[in-house]
This record gives sequence, C-alpha cells and structure tokens, in this order.
Amino acid sequence: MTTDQIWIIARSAGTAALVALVLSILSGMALRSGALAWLSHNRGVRAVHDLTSILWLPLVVAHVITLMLDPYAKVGVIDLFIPFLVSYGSFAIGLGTISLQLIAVVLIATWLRSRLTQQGWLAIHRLSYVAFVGSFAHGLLAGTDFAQPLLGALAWLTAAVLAIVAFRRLTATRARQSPARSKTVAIP
Amino acid sequence: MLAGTFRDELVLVKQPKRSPLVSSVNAIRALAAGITMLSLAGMTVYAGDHLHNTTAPLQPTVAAAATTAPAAASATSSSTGRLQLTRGVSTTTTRALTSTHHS
Repeated sequence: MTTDQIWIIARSAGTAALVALVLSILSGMALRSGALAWLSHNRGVRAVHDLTSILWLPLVVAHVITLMLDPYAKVGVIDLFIPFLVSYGSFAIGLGTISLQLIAVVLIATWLRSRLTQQGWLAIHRLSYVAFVGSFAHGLLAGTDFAQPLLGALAWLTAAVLAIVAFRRLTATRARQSPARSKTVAIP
Repeated sequence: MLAGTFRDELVLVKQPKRSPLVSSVNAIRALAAGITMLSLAGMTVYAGDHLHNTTAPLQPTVAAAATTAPAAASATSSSTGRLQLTRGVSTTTTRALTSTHHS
C-alpha cells in the first residue's frame, strides 16, 4: 500500500466515521423528540441508532490505523491514550483523541448497561454530545476536506440540523417537566 | 349556533395518523448503512482526485518540519502534489565491503 493510498483511506474513513456519528446522534435525539417521525417509526429510528453506533467503530479504527501508518501524520500508539502530545496540530489532533476515548466509554457503558443504574448510564451516554462537538472541531481544525467550500458547507449544514433537533428535544423535555414541577409546588 | 355545532363536530373528527415514509426496519437500516458507505466511497474518490488541499489547516510540510524526520532524505512528487518520503540513496566515501568479479 502506497503512502497516497494510506492517506486517502485515512481521510475517507474519518469523514465516514463522522457521518456515522451524526446519524447515531441524530437518531438518538429523535427517539425522544420524534423529529424523524416523518421518516420512520420509533423502532426504525432505534435500529438506525444501534446500527450507526456499530458502523462507527470499524471506520474510526481504519482512520486511526492509517494515520499511524502515514509517515506525515506521525501519530503514535501513545497518542491514542494521551492527547495533545503530537508535535504539530496537537490541539486539533488531541480533540480527536478525546472524542474517540469518550465514544469508547459511551459504547462500553452501553454494553454494560444492565450493570449500571439508569442515571449512571444516562450521564455517561450524554457524553456522546461532547464527543460529537469534539469530533466536529477535530474535523474542522485538522481535516483536509472541511476546508473545501462544498464539503465545509455540508458539514455546517449537518451541524445546524443537529443543533435544531437538539433544541427541539430540549424544549420538549422542559415542556414535559414543567407541569409536573408546577404541581409539586402547588402541593402544600 | 350553526357554526358552534359544526365546530363541535369538527372536534370529534379524528385525524388519520400519517404513516412514516419508511415503515420497514430493514429498509431504514439499509438507508443508514447506505448513507455511511456512500460517504466512504464518495470521499475515497474525492480524496483520490484531490490528494492535496492547500487551504487545509494542517499541511504535510508543517508536519514534516515539526518532526525530526530527515529532510534531506525526502523528495517531492509533482504528480500527486503531496510530499513523498523516499529512502535516499546513501553515498559513502568508504570502500565497499562486498566485491564482485569485476572489482
């Protein structure tokens, strides 16, 4: 495999991993808010959430391995565990490391869900939002392709859609909680 | 009065629930997998055509300068636009250790 081929796989796998992560987060948020009710019922949205979480894994493994093989990226095994050690673009690459670790924690927590409390699992699962923001910033600051106008516009559009769905979910959750809260106050 | 009655009847009319576009779980699963794989394939083709992006935030020259890779051993490739690390042919002034029939 040539250096160019390694570089191409690293870029495409990284972008596809981000796409899988976007689909996973979007379907996860849509489970509660019903934002994708026009597309599929909740069982279908749940299936997408589960599938894309699994699809993300081989893509990110391919992204990391190819970058470790790339003579210019100079990413070592230690950079998978300790962020911000890379000699160049350390912040941008470190964000990717942190995001990878966070999603790994979320996936492990999902597999061990039966051993965790609901609150504990939910707290860990919500780390995926932080991981997505980190991954997106990693793509922006270190990605070769986000600098292209068309791909950059697509990425920002996707992020805007996610932000809208997140806002809808947040408002829906607050609307559900507010009557219960007012009832609690009314009880002497 | 008529309007009031009509309104009351309207309330009783149950709106039919709109069915989603994709009702099959396998179909929606295939759609999600298709989007991901299409992005992988599309980016592979795109990256193959645009191997080097001069507006990218991280440039290979910066990476090469930041590391202790021997700059003298690297050579540029004009066909791809991306710097290629190649093993330089080592030259030495010492005598060769091996000999041939002609030497």
